[in-house]
Amino acid sequence: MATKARINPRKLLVYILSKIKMTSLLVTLLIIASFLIGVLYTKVSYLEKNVSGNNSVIAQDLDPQVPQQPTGPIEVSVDDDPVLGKDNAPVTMIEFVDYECPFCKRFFDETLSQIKSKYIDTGKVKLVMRDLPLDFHQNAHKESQAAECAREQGGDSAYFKYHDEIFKRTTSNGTGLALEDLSVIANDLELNSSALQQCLDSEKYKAEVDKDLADAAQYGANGTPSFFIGKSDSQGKFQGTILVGAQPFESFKAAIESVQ
Amino acid sequence: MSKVVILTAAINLLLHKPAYVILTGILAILLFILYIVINSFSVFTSILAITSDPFILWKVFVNQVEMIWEIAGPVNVLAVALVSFLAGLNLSLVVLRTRTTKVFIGRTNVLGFFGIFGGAFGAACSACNTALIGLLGVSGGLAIFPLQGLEFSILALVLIAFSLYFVSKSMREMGVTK
Repeated sequence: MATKARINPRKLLVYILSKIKMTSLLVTLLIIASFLIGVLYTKVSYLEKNVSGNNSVIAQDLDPQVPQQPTGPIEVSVDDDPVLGKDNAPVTMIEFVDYECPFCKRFFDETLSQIKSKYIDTGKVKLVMRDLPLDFHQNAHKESQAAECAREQGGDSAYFKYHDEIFKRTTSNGTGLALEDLSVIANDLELNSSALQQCLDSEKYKAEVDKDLADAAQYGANGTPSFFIGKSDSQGKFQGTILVGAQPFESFKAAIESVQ
Repeated sequence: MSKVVILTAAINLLLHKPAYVILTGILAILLFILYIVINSFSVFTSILAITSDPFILWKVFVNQVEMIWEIAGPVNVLAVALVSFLAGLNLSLVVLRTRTTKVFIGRTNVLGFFGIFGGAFGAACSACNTALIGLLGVSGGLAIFPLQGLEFSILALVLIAFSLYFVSKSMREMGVTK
């Protein structure tokens, strides 16, 4: 009776490995790496094609109930949030910020000044600041509200001075700035500190901050800092491409110049 | 014979084979890149949607490592580098043993696999809430852990260390090392 030959996968693997010379193994690894780079390149080409083409399909694919990072430009709103730069700047950049996120602080410390001098001060870009205080950063929501309270007293200019002061003083670790210091900052910036404290206590801007949180979730911005960069639109909404994290200046330069 | 001697004999054998030293280096570098990229996946996918310029991608990668160094601490980066190196060494020893003895022992590689997999959770990320563990539904990501991910690296190191010992021991038992 004929016995059916069975292949033992383990023996097969050993046989293959024993036949392979070390040089061949390195070459194989190189081929695998090339293949992965190829896959990456194809993916990038696909994404770039979508960036320049019709993006409505991508936007439709996003499920508003499940926040997921968009793979192409999506419609985002500047809402009624503070603006740094000229109103008629051709490019709009929204930052979703969390004052207690160390990476937002890093962006403020290392990159924002470069973007400001090269693009914002020259009228090419306007920066819109929206809030995304993450729930595990205990003081972040109050700090966002405090900045809005400062804006109430002195407009966008006061908002950004207050924003800068928070980042200069906080260690951004969840409770990097004591809540008592929020009125101290107001005092130092020659704002009415007691009015700011009253504004904070009344939680007047809690709903405003919560709206930003809801919008961020809808846009698929799950982490901070998250940015949306796109061509400005007079209606306050524009097609923005997401950029996640405290990336180097070169990333923002590429994103801004791809819009211009 | 002590565990250290068994381990040293296997590593010595590998060090005398330049091709395996190169293989270890390549695997360690690839794993280090993988660990950093996978924990900053959304950072890389978002920049890749804008540009594929290798110079910018390299800058982003270096920036990630610098940020983890500054924010999570140098120990975090060094732990990820160590996990990558030991995982590379472990895989190279498995290849060396299998090619020499023509026997593949799956069970000694299980711990190594878990160590390599666990290492992927150890690297901090460069945006709040986007680390690998955060993507798995742990709100706060690695920020909620006291050592910001170093816990996972330590666990991975322990698993890989055990795996290295078992691989070295099996090499001795099979006569690959003396």
